[in-house]
Amino acid sequence: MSTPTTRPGNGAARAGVHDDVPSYVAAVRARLDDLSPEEVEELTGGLEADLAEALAGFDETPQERFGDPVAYADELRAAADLPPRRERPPAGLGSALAETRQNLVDSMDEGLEALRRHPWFVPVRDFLVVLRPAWGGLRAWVAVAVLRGMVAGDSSLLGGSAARLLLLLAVVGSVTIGRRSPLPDGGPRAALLVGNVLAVMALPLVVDHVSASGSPFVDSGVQQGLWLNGVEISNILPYDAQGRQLTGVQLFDGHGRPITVNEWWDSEPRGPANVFPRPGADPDSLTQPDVPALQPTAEPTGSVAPSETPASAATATPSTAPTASASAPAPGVTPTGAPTATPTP
Amino acid sequence: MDTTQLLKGVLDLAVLAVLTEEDGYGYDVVRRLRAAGLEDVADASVYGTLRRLYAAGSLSSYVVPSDEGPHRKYYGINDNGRAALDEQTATWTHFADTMQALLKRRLPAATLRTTEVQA
Repeated sequence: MSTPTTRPGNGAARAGVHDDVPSYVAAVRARLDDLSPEEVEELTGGLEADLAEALAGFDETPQERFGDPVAYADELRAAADLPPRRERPPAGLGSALAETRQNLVDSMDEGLEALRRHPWFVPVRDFLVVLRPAWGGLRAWVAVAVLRGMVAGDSSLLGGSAARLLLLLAVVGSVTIGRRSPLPDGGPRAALLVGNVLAVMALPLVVDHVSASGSPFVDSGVQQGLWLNGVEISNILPYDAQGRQLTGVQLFDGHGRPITVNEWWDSEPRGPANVFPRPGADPDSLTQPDVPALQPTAEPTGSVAPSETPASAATATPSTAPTASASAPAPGVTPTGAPTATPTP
Repeated sequence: MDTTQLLKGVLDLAVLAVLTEEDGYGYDVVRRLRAAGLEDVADASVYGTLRRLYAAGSLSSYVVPSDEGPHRKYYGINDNGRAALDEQTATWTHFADTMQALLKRRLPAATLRTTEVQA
């Protein structure tokens, strides 16, 4: 747009000033370029003539008379009850993102507007506003829990009192942010929105994790020790197949890692921690199970033999029993009674 | 008091009233409003209002070509617009009467204070 720095004298003034009108109108139209061509035409149709007539007889440029064309276009639009300018971003991925964001914001506004019309909106909103500090605390708790989950490999970093201090600071900070609303538009507000959305999404995961493994704020990030159906195992009493108790048994998991338990009753380490039963345990506190023998304690050979030999003998002498058994008494073993009982099935 | 705020509320009514006298184009309407005493009226607000009233169906519009310059867009009030004008006139009259009555009650005190200040 041209804004003459030198003002022509009276005689030439009118022509010079009027030459500025088309460029001024063009600037106004450019500001309205997010509207449909029909709307732009309805708004600015005949504008050149109007401006030119308004300027007639005045030694003024359109800028001086009507102000900034951008503000002029915005006033025109507002008076016509058209929506505020929707920035048309440069083409490409950025524009698609910006448009998506704009659509999101618009639909959120519409949704909020629809909610506002409900009679219960105000009481519910007031109630939620009261809960805002609680949400701030919950948000901080989720953030710290997620942080701890991410550095679980180095649990000492966030273990014990350090974790509690961090949680305290996070809660104070988060609640303070919540009370200091509304945040300024742009960066901080968007960050808070993103943080809230992430916290809402992470909340079920954290709650799930906590309900599965107890508080995440025990002294180390990960649940220590050996657990069975929600009860911690403090000792293991191994027995062999004959039901005899074993001592000094080393246990490993399927990955070759030693299996250990928390020895909360005894802080003194006694040998390798994966040897069971643990030596430090008070024998009186142990409940000895009544362990059945999986295999009999006696020598196996004597008892097993009879069941095998008749079977092999029986195959040799099935239905033809009378003649065969009589003719073949040779092989040393004497299966006389057995064969008749076995082959029937 | 900021009259631009007041104007916003009554601009529709004022524009409709002006157009009952005679059809007019944008700046013509502005000029007639100013001549009637609404000096603070802004050009762009009037043009926008004309468009809005046209979109709402209260005005009709036609373009008059000009030999020596850009065309002019004329607006005229239609039956719809006259009905809107009647309704809004009733609303405005009631509102103005109410305000008048309200202000009259404390008028003596206000005048008294003014004279005290002057004295």
